[in-house]
Amino acid sequence: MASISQPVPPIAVRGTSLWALAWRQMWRSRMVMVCGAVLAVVVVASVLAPWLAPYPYQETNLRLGATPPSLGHWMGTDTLGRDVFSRVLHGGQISLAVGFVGTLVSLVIGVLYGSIAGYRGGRADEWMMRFVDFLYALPYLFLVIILLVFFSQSILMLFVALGLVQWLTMARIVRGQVLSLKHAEFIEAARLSGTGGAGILFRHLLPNMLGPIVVYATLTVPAVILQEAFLSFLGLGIQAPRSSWGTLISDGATVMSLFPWLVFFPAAVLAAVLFSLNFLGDGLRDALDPRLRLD
Amino acid sequence: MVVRFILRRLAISIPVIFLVATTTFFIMRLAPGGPFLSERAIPPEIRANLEAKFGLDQPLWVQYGRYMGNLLRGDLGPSYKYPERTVNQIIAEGFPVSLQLGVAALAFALLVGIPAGVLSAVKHRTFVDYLTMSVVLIGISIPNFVLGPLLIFVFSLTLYWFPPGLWGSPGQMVLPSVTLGMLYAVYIARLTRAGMLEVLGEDYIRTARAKGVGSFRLLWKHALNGSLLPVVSFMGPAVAHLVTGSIVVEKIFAIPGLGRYFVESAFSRDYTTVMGTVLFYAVLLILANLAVDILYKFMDPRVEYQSPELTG
Repeated sequence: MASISQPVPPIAVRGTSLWALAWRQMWRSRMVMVCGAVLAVVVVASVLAPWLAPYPYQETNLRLGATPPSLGHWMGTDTLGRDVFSRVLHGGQISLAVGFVGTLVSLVIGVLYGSIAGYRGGRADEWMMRFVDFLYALPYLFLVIILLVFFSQSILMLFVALGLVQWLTMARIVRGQVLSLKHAEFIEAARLSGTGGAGILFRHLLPNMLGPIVVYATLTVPAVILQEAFLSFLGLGIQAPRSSWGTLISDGATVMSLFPWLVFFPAAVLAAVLFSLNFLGDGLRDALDPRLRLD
Repeated sequence: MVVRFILRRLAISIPVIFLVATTTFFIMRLAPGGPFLSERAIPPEIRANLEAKFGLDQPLWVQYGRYMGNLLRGDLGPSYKYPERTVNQIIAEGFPVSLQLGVAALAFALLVGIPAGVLSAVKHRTFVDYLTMSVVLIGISIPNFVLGPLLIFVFSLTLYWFPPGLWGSPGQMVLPSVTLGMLYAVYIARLTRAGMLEVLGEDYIRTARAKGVGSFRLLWKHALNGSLLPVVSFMGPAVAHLVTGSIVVEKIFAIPGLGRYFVESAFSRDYTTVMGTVLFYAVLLILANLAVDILYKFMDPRVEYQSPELTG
């Protein structure tokens, strides 16, 4: 064997961070890139809806009525003659905003709650997590429905209500992470050098549990979007003439046998976004989990 | 041991029910509006009489005390929207329908999900596996309020195979059960696959195979039991989601179940019906979670009976 006698070239040892590895693995998967592209297109188009939409989303044209997709209205028009494409774009603004803000609310509550419980430990931890267990056992969406029906059906209420539903799992994940990290030596060192609880949390604990938090947040966004659509379907979400994907599907479903395009386009966009977010969340989890790494 | 565990859990549940009742009561009462303030104006004298009849003219804390007193005796009060009926009657009428729907959906989910997951794990990294997992991801991304109309469109309005709504005959049960169960079917398939892949690598499977256990028996008797544990623990949250999902499905298919009553009564501020439904579902979910925990212990003898688990 000739190769044995050859001097082994020195291997350049360069540390690769978890995030760099994750990025590399994500980049390698074509499917992940496709999902990211779909998501980027939908997000950008929704944000730019006021400029991209060919018609104002609330502009009715009763003489036109419901028409199938055509060159002028390539997703067709609804029973009031409104352009479906424009309404899907504007609906995307609402649905995506609800998804991201709801996730943000759940993120803030869940991370704070979970890390306080985990860091405090002992009795406080036990009671705080038992409270989470209690809430898990409740018909939570029923309370959300009650809140929305009995108070206002404003977008703000929707953000708060959906964020309130979602923080429980985040709190559990963060608590588990804190518990496993808090006796690590670098935390002990920080504590010994006089860092306060908040300092330890934000400077030392948070960066080290970013992976699971990011993964779970990615999976929370589609869940919140879905819940907004669910509430809209029940007539509790965004009110007309504004639209979200949920209200568009809800309205379209009632006249589906006559005008199937009214439900098809918003449902397809919603499904594509949910699929992409779920796929990205899964991919991110695989990429960040060193046990699953193939190479 | 089991009896003590059950009693302990039930004892913990009592304050939960109390908390739910109190929260719901005050959320509803602090909100503006009332059951007799509808758009169709009722003469003020009649409204006053109605409110007096149901005790709504009393101070809030008197009403609260009276409601909780009746609740202890299992009396959920009269419905405001259907004055001739009590909330107990409404639940007794609506719940059996919702229960049938839920059980049928769950049965569909298990019967499709578990075999699909096992197949996918056995054929790991083959076309069958990729196909199943793609179907799973698509299934997760299609909400039931899209799937329902889609199924109606294809199987009722185009193919005329199943009726598009209502409840009673077996034919009418197919589409709603599939609509409600699809999400759980795909989740169960995914969990079964993951559990199965893990279990198939274990030593005891290799031992069983070495001792000559046939591959069918190996899969269904030895491996499946161990790989279903994640599925069992998923059942707890699944029942909760099934309940909320049935609200939508009952609306799509015009099924006279409890979920529809709940939404309608919330819109019409029918305080007692809303309260009754929420409390009923809270009790149901607590019992379902308890049943899941007992089942889990039954399947995995390593688990100890404890007060609610604290680890995430």
